[in-house]
Amino acid sequence: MSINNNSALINSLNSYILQKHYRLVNSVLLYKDGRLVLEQYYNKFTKESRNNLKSVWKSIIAICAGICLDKGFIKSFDEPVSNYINIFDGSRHPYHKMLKIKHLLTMTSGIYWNGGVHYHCPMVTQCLRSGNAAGYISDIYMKDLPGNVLVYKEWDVMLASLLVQNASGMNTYDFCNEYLYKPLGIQSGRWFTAPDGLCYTIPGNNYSGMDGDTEEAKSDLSARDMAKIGLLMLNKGVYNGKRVIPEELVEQITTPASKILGHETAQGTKWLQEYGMFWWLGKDGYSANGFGGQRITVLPDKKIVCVIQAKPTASGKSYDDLLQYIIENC
Amino acid sequence: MKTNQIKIKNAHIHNLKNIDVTIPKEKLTVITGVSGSGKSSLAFDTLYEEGKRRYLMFSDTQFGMDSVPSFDTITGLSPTVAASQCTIRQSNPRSTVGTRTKLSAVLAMLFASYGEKDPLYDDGLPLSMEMFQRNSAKGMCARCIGKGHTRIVYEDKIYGDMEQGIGDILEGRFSIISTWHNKINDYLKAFNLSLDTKLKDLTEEQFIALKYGSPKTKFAGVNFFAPTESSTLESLQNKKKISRRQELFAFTQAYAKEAVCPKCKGTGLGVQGMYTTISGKNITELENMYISDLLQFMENYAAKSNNILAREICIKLRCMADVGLYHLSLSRSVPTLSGGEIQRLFLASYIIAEMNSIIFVFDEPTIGLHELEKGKLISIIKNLVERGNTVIAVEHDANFINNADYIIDMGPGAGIRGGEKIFEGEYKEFLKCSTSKTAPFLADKNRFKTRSSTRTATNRKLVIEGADIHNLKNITVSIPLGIMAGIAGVSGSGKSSLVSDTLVPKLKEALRDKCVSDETYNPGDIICSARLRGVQNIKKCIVIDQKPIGRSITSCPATYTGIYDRIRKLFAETEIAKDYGYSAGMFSVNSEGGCRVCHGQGVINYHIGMGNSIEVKCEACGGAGFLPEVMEVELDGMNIKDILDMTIDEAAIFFKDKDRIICNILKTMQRVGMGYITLGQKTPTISGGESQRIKLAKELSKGRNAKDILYILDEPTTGLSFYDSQKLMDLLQELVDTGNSVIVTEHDPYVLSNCDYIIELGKGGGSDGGNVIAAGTPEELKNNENSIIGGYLF
Repeated sequence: MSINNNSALINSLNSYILQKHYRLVNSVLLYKDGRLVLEQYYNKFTKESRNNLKSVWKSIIAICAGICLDKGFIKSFDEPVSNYINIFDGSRHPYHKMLKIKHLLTMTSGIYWNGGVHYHCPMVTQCLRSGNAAGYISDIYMKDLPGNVLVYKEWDVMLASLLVQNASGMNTYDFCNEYLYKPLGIQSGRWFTAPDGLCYTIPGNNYSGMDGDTEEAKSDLSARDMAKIGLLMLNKGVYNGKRVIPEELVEQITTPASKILGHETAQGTKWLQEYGMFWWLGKDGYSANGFGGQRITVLPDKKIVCVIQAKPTASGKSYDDLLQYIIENC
Repeated sequence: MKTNQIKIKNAHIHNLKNIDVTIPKEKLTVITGVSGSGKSSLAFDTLYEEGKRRYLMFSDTQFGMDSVPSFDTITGLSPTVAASQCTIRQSNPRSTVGTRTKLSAVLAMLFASYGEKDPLYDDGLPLSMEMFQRNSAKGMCARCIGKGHTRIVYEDKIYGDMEQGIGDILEGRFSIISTWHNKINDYLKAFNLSLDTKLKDLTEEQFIALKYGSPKTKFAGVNFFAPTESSTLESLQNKKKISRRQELFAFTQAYAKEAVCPKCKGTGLGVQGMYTTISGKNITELENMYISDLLQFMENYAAKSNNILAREICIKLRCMADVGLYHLSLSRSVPTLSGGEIQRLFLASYIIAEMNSIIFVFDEPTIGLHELEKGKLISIIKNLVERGNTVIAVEHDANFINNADYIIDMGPGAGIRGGEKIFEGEYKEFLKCSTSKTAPFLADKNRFKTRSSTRTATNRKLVIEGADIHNLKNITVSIPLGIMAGIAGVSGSGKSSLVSDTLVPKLKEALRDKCVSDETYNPGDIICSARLRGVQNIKKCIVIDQKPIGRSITSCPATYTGIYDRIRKLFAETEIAKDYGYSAGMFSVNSEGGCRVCHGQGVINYHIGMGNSIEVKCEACGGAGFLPEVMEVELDGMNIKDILDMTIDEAAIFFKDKDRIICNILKTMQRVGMGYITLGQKTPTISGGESQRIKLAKELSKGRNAKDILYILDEPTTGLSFYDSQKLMDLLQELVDTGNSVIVTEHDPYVLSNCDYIIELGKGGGSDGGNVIAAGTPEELKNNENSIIGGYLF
């Protein structure tokens, strides 16, 4: 691997970031044909620095659910959720009987969500304060029949995390560490686990009084570690010559389940994007995206894995143009 | 230049006939006159609109303009605020007295800062204000998303028998719910099924789609249509022809219910909100209290805790109690308030703001108030004036006029026969004014016609036993029939609870479609424990309330009374219409004939930023709302727009010999004192009292020789001048004379004096009310020392 061998590219990238005033961008990484062709850090970041995952965590949970299936902890994504989270047996709402694992992974559970695309939903605060996430979520009004309408929301990923835990009998972090992080050599702190046992890293300051940001920080990954997940996906489940997850799983996760009206971009326009299982699908590939510009983008035809990390603040962007710029100039 | 007068020159909006008016500042001015004489045009459409416009333009918050100036000059204006009774704009069902006055927010703040947490639900984290607001996602109950109730479908009852066919579910049992008809075929087609397919033969997907709908079909699912008890009843009321068997079926078979949310027990709040208390009560309990009780509760709490927030709340509550709103609760939804109550709600907030040099414009502020409460309101308004404000009120109440510093009388008639200034000056001078139709009534109380003799009650009567809804104290009330009966009592004494919430639902239950009312059925009412005897004595009951006529903004008297259908037909029958092939639909703005640009509104709203918009006359139709070709069709020289601009009086002359039924309806409209209103007057500009009289006219024009009908009216003389009140009372007396019965809920001593029998509730409002304190003829009440109203009767 040759690093920083292309000073012209780096110079133009630096001036692009400067010109666009992208002061929050911390790391930019690009692998092409398995080689690291670009690695740039800003704001005193190094290759050891770890940055917030935000909703990239959702995409990792999808892989964990897939591993559950592979290891036989769950039989099929078509199984009812109530097999693993009993409270969804339909006693609270008749729609729960129809709620399947695949509905959680595709954000089509139909559970009412009051809020935008991100997790700043005030209901999440209520949920976490209730001390019983499963109980709280099972109480929520069912807006749509499961499987019919995609609404990007936290409930589905919270339930998926709980499901991995209940199915495997392991804490979701332990499970992920054992079956995904260790084989990939990824270093991560322990994920935040709520008093009721729910492993959920994204709450941020939703845990008022619990110093959520610090809790969340433990789930941070370095840019290189994030890239490993992308490389695993690009190589259809194989990392460093070793199979970590089955090929069909990569296939399944990145098959369009439905379309979603996505984030508002910096230009203020909304775009229509397809959604797989906690992974965003695009024209040429797929990506794991998180609030504030975190992303692992995989372009299989070009054999590219690109990672961007940025400080997640309210003025953060999705850096679509930056991604485009890097890909075009590499 | 400092001026102590507001001078209006050459006002000519609506029917105003180029009048000049001078109004003294820092005084109480009353504008009187018969209904439709142009009082509101002067006070609201000229003075208030211009005052508001100037102030907002000056402060750069709004930029607007009128396409046609409605006066030459106005001088001496200062910032103007108005409290009108327009109820149509207050139709958000989530808006409550508490949210409207911001008291709910202050209470929420109080609970968040000082509430005592139930140790069982205490998670040790701080509370926030949103946790006490059911409209906030942080506070609402997740199960019912803040509504307080959820819909439960009895699936076993519907699908229990798997041998039955799809048709059996729908045809047999849901027959009264008609809406599914169009959609079910779509379902059957999407899954290639027939009505005969048995439930047990359906695949899982098909069965789920049948129950809950699916994206593959427009059919929303059987559960969605499953009728609740109330919806079956409601649909029965809308349909005249329904077999007795079906009817019984509908009553016994309900397949769903709206139940109190099991999670939040109807509070609509999450656990933090439900289990935090102040002096042992949670926020929902406080919001459900009467203002008078809540005031007492908060005063005790404030005294004990010395809490600043609590004291703020007390100040606001006291103002509300002072303007006669002590019988409301903070949880009361704003659309259920009467026009007078809404106006006083605004008034309460003005009193708190210690401002001077403001011009206040009120529309009959004493409406809906008992004589006793009027005195208090008058002193509050005089207090506003003393502080240096100018108050201008449109008012008919003798006592209020008596207290005015300055009087402007409009007249002499209504509509085109009005719009002139009859008198301007002080009260004493006004009494001597001989041209006014109002002054003689003020000068000589004997001008009020009261009946020399009351009718003796027949032995037919309606008896309500054990009425205990709201604040009613398990009372038994006997209402004689065949006469005019009045229900009196101070605000909140239980008049509406007795009539609208007990008598009317019970009559509906007994008479079914023979009980005509606009009110949608409330299932809670039917199970109220009161019993009603004597229903066999009446054939039909007609409830006439003050709700707006029609639901759409393009509704008008012509559409509501059904005249419009006939007018359109007359137009469609003209030679020219036939030549062009215009059908009746061409002569309606809601149908083919409407202007495509403004959708029949006649005006277009342009948004000019900051939430403001200006109304500009539609260029395509010149403000008419109709297509130009429609306007070319004339009926005796008048096109459709000309006819809609006619007043009832004018139309009555125009349609004479043209259409008997139209004339009949118009004549009844004149008899209820609505001769001044135009056929096309839009619903939002029609007051509650006017709506009620239009409804009365509609009912009266249906059957002229009807007998044994019970008419129930709520303050029928609201907004009427003395002159018009008398005309309306004559009409009601006539109804009784032909063998019908009338029940009126009323405050006006004049109307009550004309009743044959009065039932007075009281003695206070809210928890102090709910008892019958006196009953008998007006003469008897005058001598009854328990009666409060007795002393005010003529």
